[in-house]
Amino acid sequence: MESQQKQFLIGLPAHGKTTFLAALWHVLSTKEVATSLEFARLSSENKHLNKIANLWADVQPVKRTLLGEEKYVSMFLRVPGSCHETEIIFPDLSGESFVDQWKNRQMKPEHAELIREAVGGLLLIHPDEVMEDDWIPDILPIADSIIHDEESGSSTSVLGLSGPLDTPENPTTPGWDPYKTPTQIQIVDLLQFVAELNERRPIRLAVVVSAWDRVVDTKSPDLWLERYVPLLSQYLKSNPETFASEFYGVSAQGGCLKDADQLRKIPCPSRRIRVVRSGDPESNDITAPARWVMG
Amino acid sequence: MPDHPSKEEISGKERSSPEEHAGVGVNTNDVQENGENSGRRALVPLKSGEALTAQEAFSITAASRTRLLVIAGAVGSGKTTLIASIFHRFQKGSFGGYYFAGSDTLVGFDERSYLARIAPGREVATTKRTMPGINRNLLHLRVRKPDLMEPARDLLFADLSGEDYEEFKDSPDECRRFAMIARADHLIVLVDGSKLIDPATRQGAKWNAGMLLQSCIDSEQLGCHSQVDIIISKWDLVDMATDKAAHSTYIDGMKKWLTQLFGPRLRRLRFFEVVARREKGPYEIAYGLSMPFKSWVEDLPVAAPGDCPQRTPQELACEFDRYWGRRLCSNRAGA
Repeated sequence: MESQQKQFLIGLPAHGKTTFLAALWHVLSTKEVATSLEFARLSSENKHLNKIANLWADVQPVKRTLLGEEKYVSMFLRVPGSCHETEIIFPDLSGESFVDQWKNRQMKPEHAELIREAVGGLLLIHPDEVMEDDWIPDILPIADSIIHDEESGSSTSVLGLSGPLDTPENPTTPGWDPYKTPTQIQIVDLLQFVAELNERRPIRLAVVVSAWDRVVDTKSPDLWLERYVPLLSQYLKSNPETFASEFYGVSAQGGCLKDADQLRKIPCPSRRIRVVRSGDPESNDITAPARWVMG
Repeated sequence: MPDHPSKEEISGKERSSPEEHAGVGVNTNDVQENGENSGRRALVPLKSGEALTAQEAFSITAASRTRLLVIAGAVGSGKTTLIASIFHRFQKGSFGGYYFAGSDTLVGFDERSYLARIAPGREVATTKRTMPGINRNLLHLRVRKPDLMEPARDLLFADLSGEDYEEFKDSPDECRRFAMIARADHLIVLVDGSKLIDPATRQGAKWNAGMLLQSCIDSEQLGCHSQVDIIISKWDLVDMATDKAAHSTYIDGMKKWLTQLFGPRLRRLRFFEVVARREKGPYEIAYGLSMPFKSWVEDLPVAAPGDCPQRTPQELACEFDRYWGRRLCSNRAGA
């Protein structure tokens, strides 16, 4: 028996999508550790997956997917003990293509088609790549925070110096730059695009906090979302009819590349991986998010 | 093999190299950037994310009982900052007892906030002004209570320019042309706190707020169904002023004056002291807005029996009352 399932993979640039796919393919193809999905057979073309998985296994930098190098990859998988094969198709899109969706408000047709047909997907967020919406009054010492309001026409610098008027007519006023929009706003809009295109309800969404080894102050990935991307956390909590979500912390590489020598000493590369889900013991099962999305 | 389109289907070309076809092998970069070439598939357009026109907002208002909040105030009173500060608070957590549940205008919110954000070389926080005459001025916010017992609620903020405010207060005819006030669930009038503490400007600030209400009532944009909130903005400047007691006395007098003149002619008239973005003192962003925001979400101007005086059919003939009559009927039918 065989069936096909599509899952989307969303993530802004450098949020860990390709590294995740590389580690996933290594774990599946080597069967070094127990997983909730296992490899059934090769698909007709595996060059891209083999290439990135080899780099990952040797703790070499896995080159990010750039615009123009985008691929769809397929994996024939099955649940352990089952003879039912499922072909899971992931897009390995560049993060820039998602920024492009946010900026230019359009999507490539094949990606839109995949989203329409997908049972659900994975959203990757790298904790070091989150741009926040910090307003100047949020962070400056109170005594110094004398702020100009353009509408009022008065202007006193935060640092006690006269500041230039930032009016729209003033050529020194920087224009709005969509690349500098806080990460969680961009991600919420990407999910709203998904909700607009995919009429399945609810859409199964595994939220993966990548580079989980970098997170030291939060015990579980859902709490990390609440703390560091609260707009996204609220959006998912308040839309359970649209998104059924589960949260994972995944360290696909197992640590920083600057510690590559240490990581290479681990004899079984799959054991470098750390996967955390609230309430579950830590494991090496990087297939868990995709298995959960399958339903 | 998957059934998504192959490169050949997309571009009509032969595969150029096996390198492009790792995995199941579709290179998406060959898709052209627009739909001009009929041989290729067009990009799929997504919602613009910008502030909406009234027409564009129809898909929202048609789908749910949307709360319309009209924000009015003089140039510089902080209308845009007020709206941006509410969205900023949602970026830090729930606000007014509600979760953020979505928005069709995330670009619009960000365009109004970015000048307040920390950036290299930026020492002062500003807000991009709403320019007069631009009708793309509706910002959308969807919120939901954390217990999820009720569906999400949609809000539309009408972000009006200070110049429009001036015209409306000076002319009931201009005010009448702007039908949005009559349709508003809440009219929010900002009075600039920095003007109220300056003896050279405070009479004008008070008078202008009164004139706007008078103009709206005379043009029948406001009436006994209307919920009006007067927001004294930049309250930090009032609170931190050296002669705060004298300013408070003046402001209390203004509240009494407005209440006596307009309170009986409106369903509700309230006053709030707000610091959307502090200049002085220990105020969080959107200080004082949590409570009014909650009521903007929850309080609908449904007239209870006896709220409005009985009117003759002749009195009901004006356009505004016809609108209100329709609305009452629909509310009763909905109930």
